[in-house]
Amino acid sequence: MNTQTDLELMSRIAGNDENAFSILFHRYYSALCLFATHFLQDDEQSRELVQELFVQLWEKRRQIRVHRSVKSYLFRMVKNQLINLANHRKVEQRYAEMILSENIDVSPSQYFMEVDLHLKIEASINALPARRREIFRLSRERGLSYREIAGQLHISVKTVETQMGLALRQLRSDLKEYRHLLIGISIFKK
Amino acid sequence: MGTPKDNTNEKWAALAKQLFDEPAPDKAQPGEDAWDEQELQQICETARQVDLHLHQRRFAATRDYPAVEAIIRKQNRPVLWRLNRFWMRIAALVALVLLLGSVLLWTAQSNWQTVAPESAVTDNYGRTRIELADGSVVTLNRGSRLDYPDQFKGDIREVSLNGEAFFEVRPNAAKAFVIHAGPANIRVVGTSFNVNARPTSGEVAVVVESGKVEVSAANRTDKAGALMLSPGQRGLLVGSASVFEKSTNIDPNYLAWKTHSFQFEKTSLEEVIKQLNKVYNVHIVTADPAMDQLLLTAHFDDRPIRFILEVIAMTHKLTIQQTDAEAYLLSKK
Repeated sequence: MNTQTDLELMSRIAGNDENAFSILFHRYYSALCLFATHFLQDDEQSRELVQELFVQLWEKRRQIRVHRSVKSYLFRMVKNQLINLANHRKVEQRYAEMILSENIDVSPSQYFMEVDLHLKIEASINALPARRREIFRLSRERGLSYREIAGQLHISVKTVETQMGLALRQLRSDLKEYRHLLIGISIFKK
Repeated sequence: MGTPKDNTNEKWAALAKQLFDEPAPDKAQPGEDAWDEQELQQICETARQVDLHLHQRRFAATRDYPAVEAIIRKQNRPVLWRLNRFWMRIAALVALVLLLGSVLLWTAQSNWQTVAPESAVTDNYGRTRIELADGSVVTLNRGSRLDYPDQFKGDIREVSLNGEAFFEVRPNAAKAFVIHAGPANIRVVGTSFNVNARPTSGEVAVVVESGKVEVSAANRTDKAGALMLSPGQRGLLVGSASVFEKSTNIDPNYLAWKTHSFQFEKTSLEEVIKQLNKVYNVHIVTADPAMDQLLLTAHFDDRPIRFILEVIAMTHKLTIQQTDAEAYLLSKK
């Protein structure tokens, strides 16, 4: 979808276009951070890693040649950097093992979404009634269990269940038109 | 799309609980049968995307970009030419690799005294692309220098090289193209070729990819001293010898400096490292001399040095230690 544009950006970057560099950065930064933190479990370290990667990209802008997907290229760079860190034991033992033992599956679609979809999702969440939104965010942003949410908000677990169900239903209905962007597989473990 | 008509709130609550509660309930998917499978998949995907969106908000690009911008602004350097893809695709009609010894003599014989020669110099970051007055194009390797005139006067096109370069010569039968590379002269009527002249090895090697190239020692002016090279052949001028020796080129990687493509076929680690050090301008060492005899069979096509090292490390169960910006230590696990 963005391939053409990404490649254009890369070629403009090679010609010292800082503006193009900024666009590429804004397009992929958070997705790459999220990918990194999935393995590092450390937001700060992930940030550093991805920022350093972009600095290198700028430094080597004239040597870098990407033929197909800039997106895949960037994710691969992160992956290599992760392996590098793990080798240098700068990663917590168990995560280092995960990085080095498994082949990290670089599937950008698991981390990257088009900007439009981000905006649409943000709008949909904001459209939830305040209380429902609060419960939903505690669950999805903070990763709290229903029990923990109930305790924190002094409500019953049953209420959390109901509100979460309503939130899901509402988001599904709001975002339905984006169905064509769905890749049709779920990564939720059953 | 078959959205079930009778979606009760309970049904949604059960699905949400299954997707969102921590830890996930053990009970085997209550009521899953009630969902159309496609519908269920799409809901799961929506939930995943919402999660993705919320998690990404932790890493706001707008907040972190200024730091990166500050660094790249500071590091901006003057720009070299960038190799375009067309250039990289030229697998060369003729490629000459000259490993040139000691002294460089390009100031000696030339017919361009009337014209101020221009000079192009690469730094240690990359290759330089130069377009000559006749439309010929030269790609210089790092640390190399080409002297050439603004305009080619007379009936010959002459340039001088110190270092390594790849030439694409615009054909012109009436006006031969001659490269002076230290103790060697390379004469081409019109084709492409690659030249390397580094004043360290004491020899000049010319490898021909295709086409015909005439090489001769600069101290021989008679026709008998000239050697014609054909594709796949390699001419070697050692030290102060007055004739090139002809052999078959056996190095598949002689153009690696330009293409960053390597073919290793049971190549010793020692040799692999030697080539990588040269092409990537890095300093790789092994912890134990015994490791030098490890063999590598692999093909790399324009991959980062780090990637190549990872492959080597995985193949032989080695660890990589980055000891400096461009220095790596390989050791046994």
